[in-house]
Amino acid sequence: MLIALLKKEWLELFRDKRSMLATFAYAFFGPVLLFIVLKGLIATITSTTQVKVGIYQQHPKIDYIEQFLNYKQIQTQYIEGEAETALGDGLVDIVLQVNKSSTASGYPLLNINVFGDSQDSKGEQQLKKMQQVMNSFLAQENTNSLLKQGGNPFSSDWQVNVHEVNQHTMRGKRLLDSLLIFLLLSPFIISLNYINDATAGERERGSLMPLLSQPVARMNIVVSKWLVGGAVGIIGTAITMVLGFNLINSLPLYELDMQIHWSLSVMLFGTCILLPLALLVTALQMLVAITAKTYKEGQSYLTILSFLPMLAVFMSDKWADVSFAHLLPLIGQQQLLQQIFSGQTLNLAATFTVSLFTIALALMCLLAVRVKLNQENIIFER
Amino acid sequence: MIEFKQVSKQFGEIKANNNINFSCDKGTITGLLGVNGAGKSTSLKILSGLLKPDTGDVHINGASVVQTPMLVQQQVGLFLTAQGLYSNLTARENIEFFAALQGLNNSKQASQAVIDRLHLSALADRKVSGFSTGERMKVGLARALVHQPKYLVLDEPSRGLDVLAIRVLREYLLELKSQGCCILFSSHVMQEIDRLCDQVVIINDGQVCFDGELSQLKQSSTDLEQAFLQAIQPTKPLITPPVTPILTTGVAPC
Repeated sequence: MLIALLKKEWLELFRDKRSMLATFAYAFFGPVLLFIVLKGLIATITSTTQVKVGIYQQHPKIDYIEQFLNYKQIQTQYIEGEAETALGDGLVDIVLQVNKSSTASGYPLLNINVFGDSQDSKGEQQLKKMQQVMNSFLAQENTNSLLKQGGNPFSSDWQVNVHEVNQHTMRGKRLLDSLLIFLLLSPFIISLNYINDATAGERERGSLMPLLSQPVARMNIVVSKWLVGGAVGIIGTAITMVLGFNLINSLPLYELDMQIHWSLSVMLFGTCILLPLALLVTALQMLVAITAKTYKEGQSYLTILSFLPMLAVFMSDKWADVSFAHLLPLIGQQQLLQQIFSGQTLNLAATFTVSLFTIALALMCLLAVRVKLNQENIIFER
Repeated sequence: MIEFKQVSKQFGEIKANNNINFSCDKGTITGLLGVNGAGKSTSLKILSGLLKPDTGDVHINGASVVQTPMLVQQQVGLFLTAQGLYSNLTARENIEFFAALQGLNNSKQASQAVIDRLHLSALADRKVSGFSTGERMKVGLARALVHQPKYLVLDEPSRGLDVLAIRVLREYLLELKSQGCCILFSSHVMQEIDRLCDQVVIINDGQVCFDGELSQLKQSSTDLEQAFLQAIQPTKPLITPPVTPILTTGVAPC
């Protein structure tokens, strides 16, 4: 009986080309779009940046730096007072200061202190550019020093220190969170079309009544739709994950202070983490869509439901301190995915527990759908 | 035997079925008559197990619809609507699917048999999405008949069918009757009732106002249509005759 129901659901899905396209569009086109967006972002960040540098004339060697900067066509001006004040007044974008110190072995050292405001992306780019310029200055100075004295190539009497005036932006973490939204959203988007058609669509077409008048247990009908929806969801999500992370990993992510750990084991763990979530999402979508009389109405409800993963990820900082958060579906999966993609060891106990809770919740949703299928308004109202 | 026992069903203020009692015997065809909204479809939906009666029960071959709906559904072939076919499946796949739901192991053979019997071979391997209303009706009927039920319940089965298809359906229903099948069907077509039915049940305002043999109903009037109208409104004429104003002349009194 269940096999007949499953066969019907698969045939219905696969023969509807538009439905198939809508189902898997997110899985195939979503990662490509994300790749293009990230590539554009990296290109913007690494583009030529105009910087106005303020320098303190308190050390004789500052002239070398000034000459080097001018050679690199970077505008300089002498300043006095606190670096923060100069930056805050907007007179300059970056402040350079040179002072003396010594290494532990007593070797004299010249520190180049680079001060910058990394509060916005422009400030970050300027600070990054100045760091790169100073590193090239150091490389040049080392070469000169070796040519003159034949010294140790690994020693240096210059050192660059970067001082960010504002707090650390945690940009890398934010970006990883954005990618997780993309991944957590995929089961919601991918199974939406099929589930809506199999529940609200079935009501609208009037095929629910003949189906329910057959000697079939309601739970078999519910489970067949759930399994097909869950399978579609997990297949689509796996495609999104594999395609998306392979594309994204081909980009120079270090430009975004970001690193994603990506391997076959990460992919397998990711799929295992997302499997119960896909099943829960399908069950939840069924429960929501079965209350809709028409396909269109169901689509509205399910679109609203798709905002859930965004809420979970945007509020991840708030949930971090809540002791039971890792047990909650969606938030638990988000935390586990964050662990594996940032190279931490997967907490297997937490994975098992959250998966168990997720499946239990999915089963509760299925029981609720079964109850709904006995209600007269669901069977007859169209 | 199909037995309606004191079945009542109310939707808000409306009493769709009010203490319905009647029965249909094996090897007979019973016509269920009534105007729109009389309560015929509600009765058939209760019989199908989809709608729970507020009070009373329907028994089919002794099995209660309320207590054992699945047992009843195995014995009954239901045709409540022509809609609800799966558009992306072929006619054959639709029929086979319902044969499988009825628990038939030989769903392919059973489907082929009903396709042959209802002359559906030309439609069988086409997707339902392009079908006309009549073609959908035929497939819907085949779906209800695929498991060769002992009890057949049809809600306006000839609606949308062409003359040839109606003739095929009529012959098939008579064949099923001769095999001992108990058939209950609702219809507004008096000609159909006249040609097929042994018994007639008329429902009006949720109540049974006639339950007896067709010949009994026909005795009360010259034709079946008139007899039906008399049964549902025995004291009032269906169309109120226009009131002729009495014309007077003169001055009205102050």
